[in-house]
Amino acid sequence: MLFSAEISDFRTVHNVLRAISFKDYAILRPTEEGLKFTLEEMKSVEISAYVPRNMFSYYRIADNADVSFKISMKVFTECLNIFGDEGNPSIKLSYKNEGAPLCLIVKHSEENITVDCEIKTLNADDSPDFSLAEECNLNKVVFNANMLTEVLQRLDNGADDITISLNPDPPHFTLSTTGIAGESKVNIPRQSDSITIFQCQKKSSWKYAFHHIRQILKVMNYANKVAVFSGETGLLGLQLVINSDERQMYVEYYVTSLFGDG
Amino acid sequence: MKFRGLITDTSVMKDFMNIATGLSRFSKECVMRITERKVYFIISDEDNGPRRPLAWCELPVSFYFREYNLVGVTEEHNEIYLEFSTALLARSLSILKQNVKSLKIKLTNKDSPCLTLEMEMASEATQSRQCVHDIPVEVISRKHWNDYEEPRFNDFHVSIEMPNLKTIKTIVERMRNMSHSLTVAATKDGRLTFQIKTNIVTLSSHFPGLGVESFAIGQLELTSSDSQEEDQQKVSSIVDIKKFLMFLSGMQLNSCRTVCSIVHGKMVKLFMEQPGALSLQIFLTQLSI
Repeated sequence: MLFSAEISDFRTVHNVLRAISFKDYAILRPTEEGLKFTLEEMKSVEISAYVPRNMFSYYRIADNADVSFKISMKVFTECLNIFGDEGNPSIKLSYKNEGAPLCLIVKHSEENITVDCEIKTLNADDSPDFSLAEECNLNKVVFNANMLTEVLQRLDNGADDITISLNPDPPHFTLSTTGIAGESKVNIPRQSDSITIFQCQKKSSWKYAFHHIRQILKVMNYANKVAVFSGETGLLGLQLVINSDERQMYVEYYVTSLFGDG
Repeated sequence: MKFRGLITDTSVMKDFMNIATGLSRFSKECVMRITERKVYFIISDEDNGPRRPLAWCELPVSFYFREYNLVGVTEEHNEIYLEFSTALLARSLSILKQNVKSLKIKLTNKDSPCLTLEMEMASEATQSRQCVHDIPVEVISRKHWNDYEEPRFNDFHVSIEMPNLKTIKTIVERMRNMSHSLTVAATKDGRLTFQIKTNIVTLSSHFPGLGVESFAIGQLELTSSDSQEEDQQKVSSIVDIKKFLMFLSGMQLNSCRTVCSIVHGKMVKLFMEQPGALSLQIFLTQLSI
């Protein structure tokens, strides 16, 4: 058995996975630290959710095994949600060997109902597990998630692109959009109650496609904190901390900038 | 040909309205068969091929009607078959949500044959108010009655009690998002299984410990590929998942008994009964793949 795990309270996990599934297929990578789900598109957007080991009641990976495979997120999230809002179910996951299906056993806690699923897995070809975090470690701002989500949602929804600027001097943090309807701009000073950490060594300002940023907005609704990272290359990183009862899970999002700096 | 029925009990009127709403979820058209002791609503499969009932709903006259007069097509065949729009019936009867004293249903001829619903509204004013709806109907002639005969099967391999319909509905709704066919299977020891199989997922939900009313697998040659469960004799049939769901969401009845019967590889019958008041049967034939 390459990987097996058990989790009982996974409503938040389900919600988060559904919110990040902007594409059907995701790479699952069980590691010693926890289970990681990664979706990417055209090497320009990558979104990952981490379910840390401590959220599972049982978690085991074969010694020295480097496990990763691809599955359909649509199917996986439907299976997690098989009892809807009722039943408070628990799930056992298992992955025997390369090429084997991912097996799920879902048990209803009140009634004697068991659901078993076998989800076909594909090889996770060319999925280098390098850390993008190093590429955007120049500036960092940590926000209260509600505020940032609301600001982003209130920006012109039809906008084509969004420029995110960080500046050691006022106005510190700026979001501006351009689109058919015109331009909009929001400044958030570092003194704002919603900013808990502001580390900016050097001005950075990059333009991103707004439809990419929208992909992360859905899951930001579940987040408690959001850290925004930027670096020299224009890569934008967002890290979301999501509380689930006493524990926390994480979502990471990376997006490359549009050509030319904003 | 004459038909006239009167309902005065408020809760019975509500039941009648709920049935009409349920029927309208099943299909656009239905056939109402009026006989001396029972009223039937029959819904035919809309697929091509020979007409055959998909849903069969039976109402005892004595439970619903306080007054009931019927003069059928002939003395020998004292019945009437009418075809009409379920949506019109449901919409007209939705008036019963208000405070209605009585509901009269009759067959009339106003330019064309109609099922006329007369509802006497209860109002505080001294003058009473009446609400009349005419639903155009087509009277089905004797030679087509055969199309609406009750399907009789007595070769079911298994009849098993169904668990809580709400739970099944939730599960099957998720399944519908992944597949359009559903395998319904049951074993002798009372395990009911719903399964979907696609090229990316196989998902089965098991409900063990259900009452088995009958199990007759003796004559059946099981040549299926369920080799892992060879010791566990199993009867199954693959049906259209949408039609199956329709049954679960169509009629919201309380405290009813539900039985699932399967002819291996041929069909599934779902039977739902509120004793004395209503019975509903759904006939789902095996999907040909």
